[in-house]
Amino acid sequence: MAFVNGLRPPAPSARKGLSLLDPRVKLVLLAAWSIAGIPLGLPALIGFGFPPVVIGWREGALRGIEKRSSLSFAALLFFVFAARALSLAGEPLFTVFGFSVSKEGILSGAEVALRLLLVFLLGAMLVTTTPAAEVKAAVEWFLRPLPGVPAARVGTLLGLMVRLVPLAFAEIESLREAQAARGGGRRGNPVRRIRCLALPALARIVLRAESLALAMEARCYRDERSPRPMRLRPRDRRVLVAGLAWAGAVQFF
Amino acid sequence: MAAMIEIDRLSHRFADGTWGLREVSLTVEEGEFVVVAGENGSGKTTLLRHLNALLRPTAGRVRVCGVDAAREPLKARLLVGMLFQDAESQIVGETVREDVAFGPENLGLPRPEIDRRVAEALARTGLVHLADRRPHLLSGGEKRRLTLAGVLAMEPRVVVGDEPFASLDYAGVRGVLEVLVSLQRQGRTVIVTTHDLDKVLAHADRLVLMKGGRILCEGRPGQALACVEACGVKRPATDARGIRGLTWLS
Repeated sequence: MAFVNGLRPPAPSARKGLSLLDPRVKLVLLAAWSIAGIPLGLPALIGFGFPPVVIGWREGALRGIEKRSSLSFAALLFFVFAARALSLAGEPLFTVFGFSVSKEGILSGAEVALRLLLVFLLGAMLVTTTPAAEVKAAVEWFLRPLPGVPAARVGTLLGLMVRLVPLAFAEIESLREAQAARGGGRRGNPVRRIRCLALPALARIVLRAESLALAMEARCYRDERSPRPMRLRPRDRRVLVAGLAWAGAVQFF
Repeated sequence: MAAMIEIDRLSHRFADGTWGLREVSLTVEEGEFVVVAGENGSGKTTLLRHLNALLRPTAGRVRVCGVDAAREPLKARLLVGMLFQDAESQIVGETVREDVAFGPENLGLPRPEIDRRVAEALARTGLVHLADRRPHLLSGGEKRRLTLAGVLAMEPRVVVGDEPFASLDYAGVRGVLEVLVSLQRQGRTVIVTTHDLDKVLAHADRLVLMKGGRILCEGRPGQALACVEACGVKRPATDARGIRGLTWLS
């Protein structure tokens, strides 16, 4: 997943602490904490998010976030904050480019941005401490009891997405280089440039996906596959209970 | 030796109406090393894809170890492991180890058996030290060996390679060739297609030459070599040692 979203998953040799936690526990806590943060105001949100983020930092889980991913997310947060601060009516504080910025707008913008930041950091902690195959196995495990949901197929699709996205980027990059070598970069019209790149890229990606499907068929792919072993240990249970208790307790403050 | 693969008057017509294969008949015995050569579009890849039922015959029949490939494709795929021309598009796993485990997991094997097969396949292809590496970071030769490991973990009786040496450097070719030759020594049947006979002919028991979807000539490499240029394949330059002297292995 690393190359897809700028988050580095753990090297198998360096797995410790949060990395060894059962992926199902991590998924449940990610969902529970993300939902628990929705009704909270700014001070409660800071108090709620602080402990898990500090734990993640101390465990080294947040060091796997690459700079480019942090920067692009920071830009998104700023955009969300600014949009909220400029659009919400209330007691005006000052004016920017003709838009009046209110105290309520700033507080609401900060609240929404902080909520998004918390979800991003929790998600990053999951991705940087869990190999994609484990996330996939956990998702499959949760989907299995649901009637009518092809859990194994969804799991395989997740795995293939992780595998195919970097291939798609590689295809686009090689096409771009090939076109640049023939003077493609000199074309002034950006729409035309994108069209020249997008159509062959799409064709190549479809062909690549077809080859992959054929190769999977040759290796006897089917939905009923050997499940990945997952064991809920006492430590996982303790973390799950403590995490859910924290998400519940914060609702009373 | 018993017949491992029996191809009987096999024809294949593509959706656009062109014929990929026309009345091809061939028998491959157990433990044989067969090289299939021919120019582009001669039908080599189409022929190989019928061996594990990735394509279904328009006419004729393919039997692998007595199993009708078209009727029982899963059984045929268990018997025939296939290396595709483009190694990159054959890799499914997020790490080398996971990719090798993909096939055994599809077979629903218990985890200890999967781990045993993965360990053996990695050792055999010299990829143990790269087990936790992400496949896209491997070199071309390593990717090819990874696809070979993925096939070996299925423990097939026949290993089929579609241009397995394409785009490989000298070391890469030797690495793949060593594994294929050792597989044959263990009694497995090996079938490879190639344009470049220099690399592999020294180890072949039989050479099959194709043109226009038909088998033009087949026999022991020494005999069939006379027809290679007629099939659009470069005749390898042999020395006093003959075809055996062509080997890339020491």
